[in-house]
Amino acid sequence: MIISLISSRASRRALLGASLAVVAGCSHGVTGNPASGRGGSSSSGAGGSGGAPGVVTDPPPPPFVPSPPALPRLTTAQYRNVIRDLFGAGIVVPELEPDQRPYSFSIIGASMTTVSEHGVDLYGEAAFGIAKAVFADATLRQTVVGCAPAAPLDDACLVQFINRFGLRAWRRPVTADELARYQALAGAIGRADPWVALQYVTAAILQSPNFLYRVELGEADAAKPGWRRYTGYEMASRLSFLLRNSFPDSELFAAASRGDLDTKEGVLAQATRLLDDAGPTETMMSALYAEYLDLSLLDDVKFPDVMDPNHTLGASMRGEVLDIVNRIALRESGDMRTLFTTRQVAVNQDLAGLYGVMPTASSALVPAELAADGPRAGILTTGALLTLNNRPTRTSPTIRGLFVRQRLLCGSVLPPPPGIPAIMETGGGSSQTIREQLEQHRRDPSCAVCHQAMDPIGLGMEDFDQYGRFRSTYDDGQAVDARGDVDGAAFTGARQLGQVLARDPRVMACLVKQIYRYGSARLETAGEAATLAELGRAFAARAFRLRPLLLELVSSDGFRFTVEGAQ
Amino acid sequence: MISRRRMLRGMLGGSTVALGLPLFEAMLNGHGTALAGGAGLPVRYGMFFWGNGLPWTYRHRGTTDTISPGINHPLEDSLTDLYTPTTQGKGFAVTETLKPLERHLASINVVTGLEPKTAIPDTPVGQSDGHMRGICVGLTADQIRPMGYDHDPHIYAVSRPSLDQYIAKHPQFYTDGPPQYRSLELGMSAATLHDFGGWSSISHNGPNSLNPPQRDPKKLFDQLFAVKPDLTEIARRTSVLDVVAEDTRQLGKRLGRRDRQRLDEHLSHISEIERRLNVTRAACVSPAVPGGTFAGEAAVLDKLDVMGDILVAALRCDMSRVFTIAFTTGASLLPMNALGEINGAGAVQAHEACHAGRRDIITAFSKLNLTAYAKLLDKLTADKDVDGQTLLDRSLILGTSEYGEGYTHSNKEHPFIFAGKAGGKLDTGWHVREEGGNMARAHLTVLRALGIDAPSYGFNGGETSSALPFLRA
Repeated sequence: MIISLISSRASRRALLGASLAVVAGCSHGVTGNPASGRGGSSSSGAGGSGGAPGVVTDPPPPPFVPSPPALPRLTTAQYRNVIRDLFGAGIVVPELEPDQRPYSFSIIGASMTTVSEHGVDLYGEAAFGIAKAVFADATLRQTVVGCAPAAPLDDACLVQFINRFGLRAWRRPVTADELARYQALAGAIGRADPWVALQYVTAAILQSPNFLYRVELGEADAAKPGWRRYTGYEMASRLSFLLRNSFPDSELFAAASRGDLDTKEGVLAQATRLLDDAGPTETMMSALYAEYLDLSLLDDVKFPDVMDPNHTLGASMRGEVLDIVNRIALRESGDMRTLFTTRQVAVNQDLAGLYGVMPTASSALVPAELAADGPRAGILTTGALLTLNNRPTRTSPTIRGLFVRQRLLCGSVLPPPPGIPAIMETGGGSSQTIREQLEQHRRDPSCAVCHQAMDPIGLGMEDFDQYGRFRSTYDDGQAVDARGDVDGAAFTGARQLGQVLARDPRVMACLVKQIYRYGSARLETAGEAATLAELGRAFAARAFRLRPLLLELVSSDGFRFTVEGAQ
Repeated sequence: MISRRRMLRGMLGGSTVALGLPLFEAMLNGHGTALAGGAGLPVRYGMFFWGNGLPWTYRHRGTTDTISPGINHPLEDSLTDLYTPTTQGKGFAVTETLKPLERHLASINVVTGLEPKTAIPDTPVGQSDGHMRGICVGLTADQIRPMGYDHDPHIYAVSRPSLDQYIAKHPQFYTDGPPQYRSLELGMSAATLHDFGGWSSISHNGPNSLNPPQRDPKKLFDQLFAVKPDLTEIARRTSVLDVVAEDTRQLGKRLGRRDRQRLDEHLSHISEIERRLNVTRAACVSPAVPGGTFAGEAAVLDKLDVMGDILVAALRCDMSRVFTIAFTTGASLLPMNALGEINGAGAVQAHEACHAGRRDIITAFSKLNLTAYAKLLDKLTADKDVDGQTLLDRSLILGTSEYGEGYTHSNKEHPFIFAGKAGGKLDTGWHVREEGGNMARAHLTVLRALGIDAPSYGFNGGETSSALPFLRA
């Protein structure tokens, strides 16, 4: 048998699953608190007898305490967007150090990690290179500088440029000390050729930490002793990087300078304005969900040629799942739980056959409706999510279950300790079904404590193969048994799993937590539990629509206040 | 005679002077035993890292960890050891897995039986993962950072600088001033579990501060050997960096401890870059500009070949004395079949081959890694200096992997293969075996061989004051 290969990162998740193949002695089983944030209006889907392993009832959260600043660097995507918005799309951004992506999101890596020396070198090369390209273009440099410099460079134009360009690049007014420092820099470069001096001033502004880091430290607020309220400019930046993945536009800067963003109402007004701009908001949502769902893995999946003659299937799957998200979250402003149950999909020539809907010759996605009595509904039955979480040559109920447990339920699962051999999912040659192989986990209590959190979910998705094709029998003719359960809630098949998750309040609580992390550029702290709980209540009260949730998020105390970092 | 250091620094960018290859006689004292200025001849430290350990054997049976007592381990007596030499001391014979290194036996020391001795705290749970325990203790001699196991943070688990960075920043190492680069980080295989975090990077400045490897031969070449800016540009860039450094200092004052530390590191990187900008780059015998794309895993050995040439040229020019090579990564996804063919028919990704019990594939994979190690050593022995010494004689390379073996993720029998005489500080040609020995002995031996005062090394239960026996007094 030829074993098909999936290159490099494509099956990194598969390997993770492999490392979780056998778990023994992890007495804690599921860590974290899968029930946290429970408090939505729906009844619990985690009912059943005995409840879920590791599920405990939350005590009421302690009073809100703000968290210290995150100080994220710009992610590579943000850096590119900022350069585009400062200079136009014609300026090429050179190589930057790749993002780190712990906890799903590059923005968390940007605040958690320290840049390497080579990364700082790349920042420098990028800044010098970008400045050189900008000032090599006589029209562009005139637009960027905004005044006509005399030769030698006059102070009036230099000061105006530093103040105006500095405000946009650093997302706040330049201080007097900084102005003096950059004026001196122009002198050190030499004012004889004004454009050369301005070019190097620009290069410095673009590699200053004031540009590379989002410095949001807050200021004292008489109404909130001990807290620090993010300044107007900092709030403009927070709103803009959350909703635009770039620096503030002129209206946000104007709102900041007027003091509008010091109040909750002012913040809401600006956030509403940004969300009303549909195109950029969809771009933001796509970026968020691409990381949340780990869609970059699709880039490297190698599908069988018969399924994917044009080698575009992975990209189509990615586009489709993001289209569903954007339709429900933004275009229809729908209930986010319906992500897991919707029969409205979008297909093109790559996907129509996979889904068994009317064929189309279109390479662009067109709306389609799945059969009411078919095996598919919801994003869990999209090609993308069925493909991502498998081993290279077969499905992995463990890995698929892990994805649901970690990403959708916000639970976490422990690794096996060393010294434990892989005794399941051995694949090739076994006459046992995957279900029979995984039975080992049920027999061995030391395995069961952790695998109970994953396998029963993934086994219920066995009605789809590792490329997202529906099946009722395996290759060897054995019938597929797709019975599964989520912490006691039984289902059969991936479609019904979606229905179970749509009813499980942990899924929406988890979404709140993931978006809060994305917006905060870091993990939540214990002091923010109250904010998360409040956001969860508000989300439920607004029928789980995402736009109200985003507005609640940006006007929450957790988004508006910080404290001084520990010394 | 001119001082080597002065020669390296005397001419500002753009100007060229031929630094001879091998070592320039003019820089040596009359006996060829030291630099003309009196400083000792430079000794280089390198790490050669590969993923997925070695083929599992009966020796890996039984876990040394206390987390899962009583687990029935299926490794059987019939699983013969394909790696460990049968005799100890000098004159040992190669085994099947060591075969690729046969031509270098006189220049290496094979150390077997060592394992991590650091503590495994009970809480937070999950600190026993075989991958990260092996990688963290192997790179740093300290335990996994006690942040528990949630898959994602688990990949940022080191507690302190990896040994290469400890050395590169140690005041007793670059005693005559640092060269252009304190360290160089190279990688070949990109088939990694994650393209970020500890699966991808083996060089760490400390927690959450990684030095990702350069895996592109052309970029490595450009970084080291591309034409430098002219004097005017250097002066302008220096002025810019002065301003940026001052911005960084001012910002740091406003931050809490954690972020101030991040900014301090950023600032020290700026200082290094500014220093490098103003250090003369000796015009060395430049290696060939790498051609080809070296894309795909089938090209990893070719990549090592080309990047190895660039590295050796950089070492000869004294552009750095510390390097790491991640030939393959932890939990490597490099696809190989039992015949040792990358991407060949029936190929399985290496780490999956571990889990699937494919010892034949892992044996072939181990040989690929040690073949690469041998090729690196070829390059370091290709030319002799005026005193008859090779670059390897004046180097210490520590070859190691992520754990003992991947089938059970056992941390027993973690492999260490020293190469080079470290300028005479190490005897070579030994097989040293210490079953259940403390792997920090390897780190301690490295430090002492490089002239760094180290009464002991290792942390949190991994401490040792006992170097390996081939360290010369």
